[in-house]
Amino acid sequence: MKLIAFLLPQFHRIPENDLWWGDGFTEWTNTQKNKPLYAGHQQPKEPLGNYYYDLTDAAARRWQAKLAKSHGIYGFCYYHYWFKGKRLLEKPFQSVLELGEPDFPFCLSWANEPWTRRWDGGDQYVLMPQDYGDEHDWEVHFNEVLVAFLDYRYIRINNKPVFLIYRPGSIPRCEDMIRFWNELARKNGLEGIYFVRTLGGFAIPNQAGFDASVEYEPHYTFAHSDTTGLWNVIHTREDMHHVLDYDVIWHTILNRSPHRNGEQIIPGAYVNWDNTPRLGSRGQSTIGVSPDKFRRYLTRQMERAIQVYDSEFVFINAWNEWAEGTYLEPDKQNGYRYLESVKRALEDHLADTTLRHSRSEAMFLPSWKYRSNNNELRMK
Amino acid sequence: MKNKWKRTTSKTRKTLRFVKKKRSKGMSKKQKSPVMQDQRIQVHPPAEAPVTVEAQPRHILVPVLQHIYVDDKHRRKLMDRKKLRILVVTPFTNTMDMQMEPLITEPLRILVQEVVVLKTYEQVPTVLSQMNPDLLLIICQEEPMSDELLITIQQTSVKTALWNVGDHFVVDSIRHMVPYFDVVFTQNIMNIPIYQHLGCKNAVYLPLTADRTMYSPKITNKPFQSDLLLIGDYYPYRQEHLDTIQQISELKKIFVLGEDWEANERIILIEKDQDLQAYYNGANIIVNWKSIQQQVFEAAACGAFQLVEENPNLSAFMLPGEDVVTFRTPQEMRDQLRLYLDQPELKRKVASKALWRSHYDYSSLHMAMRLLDGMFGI
Repeated sequence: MKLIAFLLPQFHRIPENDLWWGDGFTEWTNTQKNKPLYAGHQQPKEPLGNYYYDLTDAAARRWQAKLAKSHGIYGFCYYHYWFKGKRLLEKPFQSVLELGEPDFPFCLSWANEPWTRRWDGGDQYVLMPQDYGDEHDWEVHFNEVLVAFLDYRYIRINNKPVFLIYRPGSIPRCEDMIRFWNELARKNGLEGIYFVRTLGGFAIPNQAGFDASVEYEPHYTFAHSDTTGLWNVIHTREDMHHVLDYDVIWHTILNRSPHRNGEQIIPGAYVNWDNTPRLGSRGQSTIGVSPDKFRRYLTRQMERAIQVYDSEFVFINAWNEWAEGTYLEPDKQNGYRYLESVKRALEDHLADTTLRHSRSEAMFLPSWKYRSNNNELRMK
Repeated sequence: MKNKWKRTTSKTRKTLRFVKKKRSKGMSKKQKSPVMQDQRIQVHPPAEAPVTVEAQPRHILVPVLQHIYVDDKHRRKLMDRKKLRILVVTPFTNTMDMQMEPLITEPLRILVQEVVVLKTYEQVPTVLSQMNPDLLLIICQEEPMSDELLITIQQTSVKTALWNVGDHFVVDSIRHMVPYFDVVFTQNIMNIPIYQHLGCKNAVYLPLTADRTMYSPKITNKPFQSDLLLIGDYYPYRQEHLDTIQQISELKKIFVLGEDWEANERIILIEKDQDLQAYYNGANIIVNWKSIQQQVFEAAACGAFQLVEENPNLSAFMLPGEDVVTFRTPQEMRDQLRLYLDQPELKRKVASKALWRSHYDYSSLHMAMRLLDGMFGI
């Protein structure tokens, strides 16, 4: 089982964010100033040891990889921001490529949304438009990421580098672009690209060319599941605030039909959801979260990945989405408990899988042969 | 802290007074603050969340969070049920039918004190008199019963029920047995007037559910995968449906489970006695003309999306538009096929609801509870 965690690179200054959001803006800016909205609301979320890292620092990246690896995370999926020739937040990942460290698998998810004043890709005030261009622009884009695709650490499925697209429905000639990239990949010595469509919180049109779809949680559940019992409202000091039931979301995920047009689906998992650092009381937070519940639900999702999705991957939202409350990195409140939950879930999953295999093997071995494998039993 | 009271705001003092008042009425001290609990109401998703397209009007539920508690009447109901002793007779001769037994007896064992199972009619008179159960439940398809046994059943003071598990049509052997029982449970709601006419006043619609050890979401291999699975026999009126289906180019590979269809380059006939769960799991869409509710439940338990021809058996348990989609005419079927082929998330939502409800609303445990409710009012 391979767990991949989404990694947000917005933990360093860039001139654009300084201009749009104020000098020194990073993801930590909003997380640090947030306040609890109601009794029991766990905010602000503070990293353990006040480690407000800068991702342009190689030591921070090494720390992340070491921590992830030691707790069973297989790799990171970095968000990749490409706006028709312009990249944003690319420095951490570029450094990973250029320096060749940390030695930890990765892949990319093209977060193809315009940057706006609203954090959810709405189009009220566009700071950075998202355009797609044509074959020439697609080729420029491909050449930009080819170095990553050729890196030995890049995660592959069926020997093809995995490339996620967040909002393929927004790409006017998506199917043509996918075909074009596959041709370019083959010209450059690859067998093609393993394109993965993100099933998230938006309309998802039928588009050919994708090898798989990944469930991006909890957004996919918000938008495309029966939401009865999911939402509640709490009266805060300022406003009415929407809260989510942690267990209802997970039950919905775990009881979802795995069938979607006969395609390959990679199941998703989420740690928590609380985007009040970004939106204040207009955001949503979650009630009923605990590391132990996360462990139990993640274990069950891994089981489903094997049994009903035929997938060796589960994508976790996320490694470090602090401003959305969904992160595995250690914090002051829970310490390393979420990472320990991942590790324990993997151990439980491995134990179950081993037991199932050894039972099915034992069923078919002749009795004398089975007994001879066990030193405690006498020969028949 | 000395000045603790002075430091609290007037709003907080109001909250604390509210909590004290509630506590004085005997509520648990472990309950959360009123802000967390009493002021929570359930609403639809906030405006920021994307809105999905609705194909059919669905039940608009605006549930209000309620305090859930068990009153004395409910507690007595549960205790009375657990005192019951049931004698079940399953005289199946067909091995396929024998699989039904645990589907019925296992959930009954959870609910009642004792379930004794006999597999032949011959043992019934002896065990009936020795055990003196609260209920004699005969589960059969067509297995005829002797007149002597029928008279014994008629004369016993024990409550008696016949659960006919194969009654798409009412066969002669069953017609003969019906008048001797207090209650007849049927798979087909349209047979109720027949049973009443035959002399059994209490006929209740109670379909078998899916055996979830067999029917559940599973990975399927390519030979079992299809764009469309049709369930039902061929009748001339269904030719128009078939013509409509064949006009939809996305439906390239069509499996058919039923009699009298002709195969062609797109249509593949499924032989009898196949592993149906593989076909249910492999089908992108299922179109079902048959009114056998258990088959609909089985596909639901696999997480399959179904278009079912409207029939009275369906609506007693399922919610058209939510966990199943219904049609009446070939045009309606075509429109629904088009809609759900174009909206895979909507299709998945309906299939997921069906899967959810097969666990929590129409499982074998729920049917066992309905049976007891029908017999004893508990």
